[in-house]
Amino acid sequence: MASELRVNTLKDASGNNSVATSVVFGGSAKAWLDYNQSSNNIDGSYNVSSVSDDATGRFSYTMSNAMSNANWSMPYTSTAAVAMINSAVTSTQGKCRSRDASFNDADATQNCTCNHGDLA
Amino acid sequence: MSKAAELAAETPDFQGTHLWDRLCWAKENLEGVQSDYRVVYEDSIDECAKILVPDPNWMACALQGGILPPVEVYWELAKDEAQPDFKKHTRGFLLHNTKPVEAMTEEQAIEYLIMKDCPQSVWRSWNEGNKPKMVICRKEQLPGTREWRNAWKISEDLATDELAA
Repeated sequence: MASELRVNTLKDASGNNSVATSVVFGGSAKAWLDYNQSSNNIDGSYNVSSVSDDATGRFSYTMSNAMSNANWSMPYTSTAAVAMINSAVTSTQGKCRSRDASFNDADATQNCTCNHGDLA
Repeated sequence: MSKAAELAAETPDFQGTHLWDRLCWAKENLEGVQSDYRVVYEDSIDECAKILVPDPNWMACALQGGILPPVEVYWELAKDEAQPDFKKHTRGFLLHNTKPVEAMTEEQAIEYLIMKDCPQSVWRSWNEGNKPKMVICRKEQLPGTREWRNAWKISEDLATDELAA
């Protein structure tokens, strides 16, 4: 790395509102994904190695840097869907499912998800 | 000039650097590479074919070299996770301390990705049935629309004794 700051705690200019850098890192998203299932393209990502288009409205994605276990948080939103189901399957893989207003599986042009938790 | 050569930044010596930090470096310094390759695979006879799409940032790392750990590292972590008493990874250091792999061609990167992200039951015996369980193709070889997506299957006309369909 060209340069780095090594500190344990961050504070504002008045010396208040301190936060440990471990809290900052622990609360940061460890991966994110913007996936267009209609065109089957990955439009943006971080720490993702691939997406698997599993079926209409269903996909899974795999990370490069694994999480410490399968107990990680995975918020998920989708443009086309009114109902969304998502789950962490393993320390490296999450699954998402989007459905339309009739509760049928439906592809979406934008599926956005991210991971929160501890890295391996 | 190859896609990898077009990537200007020289990879620092990353052995011992946390993989997540390496990916940060790659995100800042490398252009994503959209691969035209897709991997079609079937891991259940009761389900439709699945399509593996390589991530552009990951592909850039693979072509660049010196960033990604050997694929065997992921197998080791998967073995740990398959243990009944698994709580959390205790060998995550394998991701960070194992010597990173050298630059790959796009084709080598796809092979690596298959061995990392496709079920082993698929790629270890892809040609042991009446038809291939897995096919590497170009994006334009897939159906043009997603109509009947849930009926997509690998053609039974494909031979299992040929490397190219």
